[in-house]
Amino acid sequence: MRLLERLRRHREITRLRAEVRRTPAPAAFGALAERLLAHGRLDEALAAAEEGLRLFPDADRLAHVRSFVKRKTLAGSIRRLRGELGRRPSPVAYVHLAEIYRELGSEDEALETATQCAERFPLNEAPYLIEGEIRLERFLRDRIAKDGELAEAALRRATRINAHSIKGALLLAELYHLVGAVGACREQLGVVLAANPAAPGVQEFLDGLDAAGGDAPEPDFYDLVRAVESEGEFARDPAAFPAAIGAGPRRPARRRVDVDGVADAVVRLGIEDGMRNSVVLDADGVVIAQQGTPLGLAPDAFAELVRRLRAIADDASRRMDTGALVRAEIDGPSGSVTVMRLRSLTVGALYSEPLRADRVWEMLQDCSAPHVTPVREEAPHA
Amino acid sequence: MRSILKRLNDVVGVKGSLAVTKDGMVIASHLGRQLREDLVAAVAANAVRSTRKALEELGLRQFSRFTLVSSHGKMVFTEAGAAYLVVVTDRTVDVGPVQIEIDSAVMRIRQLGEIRV
Repeated sequence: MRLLERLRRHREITRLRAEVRRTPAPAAFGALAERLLAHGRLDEALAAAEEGLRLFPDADRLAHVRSFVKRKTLAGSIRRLRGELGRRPSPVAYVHLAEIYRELGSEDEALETATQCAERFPLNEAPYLIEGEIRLERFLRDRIAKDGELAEAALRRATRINAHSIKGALLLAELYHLVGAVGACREQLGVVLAANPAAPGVQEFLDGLDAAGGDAPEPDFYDLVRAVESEGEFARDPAAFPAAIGAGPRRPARRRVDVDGVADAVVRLGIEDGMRNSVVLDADGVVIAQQGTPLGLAPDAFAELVRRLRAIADDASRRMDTGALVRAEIDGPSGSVTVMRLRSLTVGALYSEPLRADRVWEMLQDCSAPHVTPVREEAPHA
Repeated sequence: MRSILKRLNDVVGVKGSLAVTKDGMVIASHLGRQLREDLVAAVAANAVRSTRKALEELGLRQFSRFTLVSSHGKMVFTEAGAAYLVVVTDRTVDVGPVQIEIDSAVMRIRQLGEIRV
């Protein structure tokens, strides 16, 4: 490559990196990751995409870059493992393949691989551990009761098959901790200590639980898990269950939303050519901020439309077992509507040409990004 | 209709597809083994009916496309003449190339003419 071309590329990447530092938004991370990918710098592209996804887990551009790089690097392993499963199936090969799918972000394929493993090797705990871990991760991310229930069922099954499964007991303990089933959490950590008295951090965590009391009879697990879904919050702080003793579910970065900042930013979108209405609703559907133009709907009518679309989309997502709603987009002759979920907030926008759905999705992410900040993890406590 | 849906399901990332009438009755479906036909049909029918009703009550014209993105999957509802084509995909799939296939399937469904359930 000519020196001048290398210099030009170096300057371009340096400028994009500076942009990410100045305004860490999905568009800035996306531009950097895509340029690095175009220049064949796969490892750096992956690092940029993953850094962005830690802050903005719903950014599609970044997810595509990560998926592309990982598929490219892991394609050989997938082919080899599939061949091995065809010739000489074993739980180890199934588990390895499922782990690769998880790495790629294809959780459905990982769950499908675990199901196939369970059908062939029903007395092996591994597929149930995989299912339990994936469901626990989803529960941590989306707080949907069904995920918690399926995690418990799978992990219970794994620990029935192998009563000494430390990983199964740790994952169950974390699940019980999240829903506030302190007694059940203590019981599972007791199993861990019996198998490994020196398990790092476990005794200290148990001491903290004992100091906090909690010997009263516990409500039913299913009531507890549904309470998490209806309140949108865990009964106990997820960060209090230290990662050091957990079996390793990758916790999503906790984020705090500055509601007023998001509301101001969304209302300011009204100046964009093509934007007709925008609204921000809280978890109960109450309007926090809204704006409308003469070409749009009456603001209250638009807020009602967003409420109803959110309910339809939520219902479909939950019944389809696809997790929490990220966004819904409607195109029609009356214009287009995008509904975005941002933690407990719902943001809606009605627009027409020259705006398009992909552009509006990026605008909504970018304008809300400065108002969503990672929560600093505190010292572990029960 | 089934052959159109089957062809669509061969696209990478597509987990299943079905066609429903505008009042939510299932015309045909072709779903992967991860999806339960009765559940997907019920969800699709309810989404189509409820969205049309919500738009109608506000005096808006009907939708030509409804895309629903969740943390672990996507559903795309596209108007295809007398029916809606509903496509279920992975969350990680790049909708661009899939959309071309969906548009092509929609065109073929339109060409089928009258649909009897």
